[in-house]
Parts: sequence; structure tokens; C-alpha cells
Amino acid sequence: MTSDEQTAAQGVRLPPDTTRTSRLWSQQTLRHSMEPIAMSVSVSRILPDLRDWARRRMAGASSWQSRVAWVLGLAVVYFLAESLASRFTMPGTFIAVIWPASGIAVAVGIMVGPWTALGVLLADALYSTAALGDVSLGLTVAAGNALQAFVIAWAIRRAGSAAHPLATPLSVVRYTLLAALAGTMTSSTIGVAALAVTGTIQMQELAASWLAWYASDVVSMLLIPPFILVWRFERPPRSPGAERAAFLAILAVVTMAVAILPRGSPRFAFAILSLPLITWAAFRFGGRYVVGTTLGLGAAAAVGLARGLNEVSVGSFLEVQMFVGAAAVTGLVVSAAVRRERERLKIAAEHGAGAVSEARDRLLSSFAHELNNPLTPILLNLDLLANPRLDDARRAQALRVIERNAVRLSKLVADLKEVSVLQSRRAFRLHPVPTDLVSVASAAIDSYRAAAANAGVRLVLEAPESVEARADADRIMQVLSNLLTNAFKYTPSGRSIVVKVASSPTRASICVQDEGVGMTRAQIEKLFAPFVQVQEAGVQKEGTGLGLYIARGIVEAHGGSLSCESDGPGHGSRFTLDLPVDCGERALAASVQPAPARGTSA
Amino acid sequence: MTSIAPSRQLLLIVDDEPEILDALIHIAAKSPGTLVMHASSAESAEEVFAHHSVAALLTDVRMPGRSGIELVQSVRARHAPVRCALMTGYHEDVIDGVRLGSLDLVAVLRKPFRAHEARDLIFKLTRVAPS
Repeated sequence: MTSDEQTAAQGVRLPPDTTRTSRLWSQQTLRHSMEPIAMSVSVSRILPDLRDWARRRMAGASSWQSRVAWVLGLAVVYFLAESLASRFTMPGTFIAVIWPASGIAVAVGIMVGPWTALGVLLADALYSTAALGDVSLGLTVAAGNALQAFVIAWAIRRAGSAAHPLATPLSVVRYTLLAALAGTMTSSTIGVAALAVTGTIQMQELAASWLAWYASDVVSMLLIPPFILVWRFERPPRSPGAERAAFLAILAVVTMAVAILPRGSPRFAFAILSLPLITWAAFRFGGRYVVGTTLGLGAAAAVGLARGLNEVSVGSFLEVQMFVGAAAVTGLVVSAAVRRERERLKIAAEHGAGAVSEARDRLLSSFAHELNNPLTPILLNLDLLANPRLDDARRAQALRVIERNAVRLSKLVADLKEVSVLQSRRAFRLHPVPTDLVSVASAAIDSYRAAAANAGVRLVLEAPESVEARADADRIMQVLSNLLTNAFKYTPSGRSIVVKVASSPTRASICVQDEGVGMTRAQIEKLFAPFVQVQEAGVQKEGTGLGLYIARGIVEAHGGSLSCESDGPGHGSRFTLDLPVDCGERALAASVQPAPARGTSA
Repeated sequence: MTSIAPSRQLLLIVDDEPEILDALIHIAAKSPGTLVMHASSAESAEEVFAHHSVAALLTDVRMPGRSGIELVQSVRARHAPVRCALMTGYHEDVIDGVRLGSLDLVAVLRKPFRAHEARDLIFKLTRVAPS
């Protein structure tokens, strides 16, 4: 009796125009033999229990009871997955877009251990033997599937990727090469060779059979294990519920279109829409949504092709499989890259926050230290005043010292409040408006005219008619006042202080140059730190040491910079305030040389 | 340590704040048997050490140029029998990486301090025999 006669003897009616190969793999054969078993187990009832049991067991599958349980559990799931996939093959063939059982076996093998491939052997021995009607052939095919699951899981774990095999773009590439492209050759090669040796398929069908078997396993590796592993190892980032709902709605439309639209309609054009969806998911919702999208796409493609079974060629299957596979790899790589960048930014932010907190602690510590300096002469002189034998001159001096240091204390507190406002992003607000910097500089100089005359210092303004910039005029005035105060402090009588205003199409600058004591490079490097003052020994400290620190903060809040240069002690200093112009629709000042000096002489 | 009979000992006070220096000089001048000299920097203080036999040193920590800690370390390196004390606004026991306990100080005067605290310290510096 030929095998065809045997099959017919089992009461199975075969489609008259199928090939010998397709007869052996026909859907009707599988349905008749497998349906009662498949339908007797309700997946929806046992799945939650399986999930909880798997979580409890996964970490420590070391005892033999656990291992037996894992093997048997995988065998059941593998068998059910094969039964389900067989509903979506091309008629008369074993060709399916995806063969989920292969992917499930690999995912379990990666997470638990390659020895779970024994479950594949058990399940597929039963399935393939029943499907092929030949025990030795069925066992050979089952051995090929089990070996494939073992080899891939072993290779991925060996590569050190068991923790999260798809964590980085490089690990995604490694997984694609090892698992999806190389490892899947195992089952297809052994299986097709066995079929050819037993004469189940003709030699001229060898290449096509191998390619179809291989392609469905490749797609399975790219969709099923990533779905399981990403859901196992990743948590989704937070995103607005409305955006998530919109995404899911669009995904549902796309997958439904791919699954149910008839041949001749642009259903696969809808599949192209999955690519922007995958990108959207990678950036906004994380890996879980990416693998869910690609799995949904693959499932929809499988359903869609299965519906148009008699009208679709093997070549179309391969094109669909290539598209689904490429979309899956793209999604995994983009998702891994986005996650990695997100982690890097999070670490950088934590370090930044730590650095900011550390800087703030240092500032507070320095402030506490600086408070002690004016407090000490206040307390000492108060104690001196308590002496009834203190002479009048000494008493008057003590009172002056107390008053001076009390004022110094109040300035310190005021400056510290300013520093606190500067560092608080919520409290500090600039009010930038189109401002003529020449007017601001001129007003600042006017306020020092009397002091300059008394000190014998020459004040000069070198500026064009106007220089426009978007700035907070009051804050820029505050900066210029600080620079001019410092310039006066260190410029002896008979020398000059020059204020230069200049501009280019995008920048405006104000330079305060003095002919004072100058600074060393080491002094300049510390100049903008809080509580640093360049002073000569024995000279009473004036100011709080926060002026330049505050001034720089104001300028940087404008998007500009404040810098200092000096040619060395005795050669004066130059403080340059540089601002972006950003005047909007107003005409910008042309790049000009400073106008002839409009000087104020003492 | 034992107290000894008062004798004229040279106390050097170093601080870059003129008002604190002035007040400390005023307090120290009332200490019998004490000759007071002052400097406003560690460099100036080294010149005093070079020309005078200093018995006690009271110095601020933070000054332009070298710090008071470096001045004390310089004194210790010369093995000079000088009783030293520091004034500082910091409340840590380690400043600039130096544990203050390693400097063999008579005391550390934390700012802000009152006149009686300064008097007590000056007494310790000028009334205790060198070890």
C-alpha cells in the first residue's frame, strides 16, 4: 500500500489537485488529527496561571522537579503553537508567514536554559509523527527543531546576552545574526534533508522547501522571542494616555486593514504605515510597544495571506516575510538605541543634579564662612564698648567698625538672596525687550561721573549711535555697575576707564577696560567664583565677593558670556560682556567700528 | 604643662582683616609681659620670624597668598619652639586637606568669637611654658 493509499485509508479526503508534498502537510490532515487535542485545552484559562508559575520558577530552575516542569510546560505550549500556526499555512503546503513555536522555544531556552529544548523534542515528536505519518521521519524533524532551539539559546547565552539579549543596538545585531539568520538553518536543513532522503519531497522542490521553512523560522525569531524578552526585561516610559490611545487606534486600523482587506486592495500599502508607527513607538512608548507593533504586523500579514490563500504565490510570501523581518529588526535597533540614549541622559542628569547640589552645598558653606568675617569685628568691638574705661576716640572707632561691618553683612545677605534667585529657575525671570545698549552704558557711566571726578579717574565711552539687542535693561545696568565699581576700586588716580560698545549682525558686546592693578592668570581663573576678591594684603575688603558671580549669572541667563582678560599685574584688566542680538523684526546694527570717543574727563 | 612666671614674650598676630587685627592687638596689649607684633599676610609674618624670636603665633587661616596653615607648617618645619593657634571661620577639623590636629596647636579659635575668648586664647599662648 502506498503512503497515499494509507492516508486515504485513514478516511481523510484530500484535495484532488495537491502535490504529494502538500497532501502530507495539508491543513485538513492536521485539523482532523490535532483539533480535539488543541480544543480540549483552554488557553485563556491556563495562561495567567502559567505566567505566575513561570515567574516563580524562572529564577531558580535548578531542582530536577523544576526542570521537568519546564520541559513539560514548554512541550504543551509548543504543541499548541504548532497547532495554531497550521491554520494559517498556504493550502496544500506547510508554508506559513510565521512559525511561532520555534520562537517560543528559543525565548524559553534563553531565559531558563538550553536544556528546555527537550520539551521541543517531546512536543514536535508527537506533532510531526502525526502529521507525517512516519515515526522515524517525525522524530528526525523533531530532533532538528529541538537542536535548533538548543543551539540558538546556547549561543545567545554564551554571548553574555541572557540578561537582556536585546538591550543595545549591537546586541540586536548579534541576536539577528546568531538567532535569526544563522541558527534557523538548523531545523530547515535537517528537516528538508530528512524529507528528501525519505522521498517525501522531490529533489527539485528541495531549495524552495528549504527557503520557505527557513524564512518562516527567521520571521518567528525576529518577532516571538523579542516580544517575550522585551516584555520580560523592560518597563515602558511614561507617556500621555491620549497619545497612547491614538497610537493603539492607528495600529488597530493598520493591522485590521492588512488582515481583512481583499486581494487587489492596497492592504500591503497599509503595512508600510507600520514603519512610522514603529518609530513613534520606539521614541514614545518603549520596546514593549515596538515588539507589539511588529508582532501585530506579522500576525496581520499571516491572517491576510491565509485569507487569500489560493491567490498568493510563494514569492509573495517571501516578500511579506522580508518586509516583516526588516520592520522587526528596524524596530528593535531603534528601540534599543533610544533606550540607551535615554539611560545615558538620565545618568548625566543625575550626575548634573548631584554636581549642582554639591556646588550649592559648597556655596552655602562658603557663605557661612564669609558671614563670620564681618560678625567677628562686630562682636569684638561690642565687647570693647562694654569697657567703661574706653576712651572716646577708641569708642568712636569701635562704633564705626560696627556700623561698617553691619552694612557689609546686609549686603552679603542681599547678594546671597540674588544668588539664590539666579539659581532658582522658577524665581529668576528676565524681561528682555529691544534695548539700546549704548543708552544703558551711557546711563551707567553718568552715575559714576561724580565719583570719577573726585577720584581723578577719566571715564570714556566709545560707541556707535546705537546698538540694539534683546536684553533686560535693568539687569544689564546691574552688571555694568558691578564692572565699573570693580574698575574704580583698582584704578588709581590719573588713569582711565574706557567703556566700549560694539556689535556684529548676531552679537553685541560691552567692554570695560581699566588701567588699574591688573591680575595674574591664576587670579582670573578664580575671579568669577563666589566670595573671591582680588585684594592686596592689609587693604580693607569691600564688597561681598559675589558681584562678579552674580554678574556672570545674569549675562549667561541672557544667553551671553562675561569674560576677563589682563596682561598681568600693573597692566589693567578688560571685562567683556557678550550678548546675542536677537532683535526680531527690528533692524540690526551693522558691523561698525566704534564711533570717535565721547569722553568724560575728570 | 605648668604655668611659669610672666615674662616678656613676643606674640605675633597675623590677619588680613585690619579691623579684626586691630581689635586683637588692643586685647593682646593688655596682657602683661606680652610684646605684640602684627602682620597682614603669611609672607610678612615670615619676615618677622626672620628678625625676631617669636614665642607665640596667632594666625588667620584664609589670607591672600599663603594660608595660615601653611605658615604654621613652615614654623613646624623649622622646629622652632613656637606656640601656635589658628583663627578660622570654617568649622571643619580638616581644612585644605590638612587635619588641624596634626599641627600641634594650642587651640583653634572659631569665628565669630568674643573678646573674652580671644583673651583666654592669648593667655594660653603666652602663659604656658613651651614643650
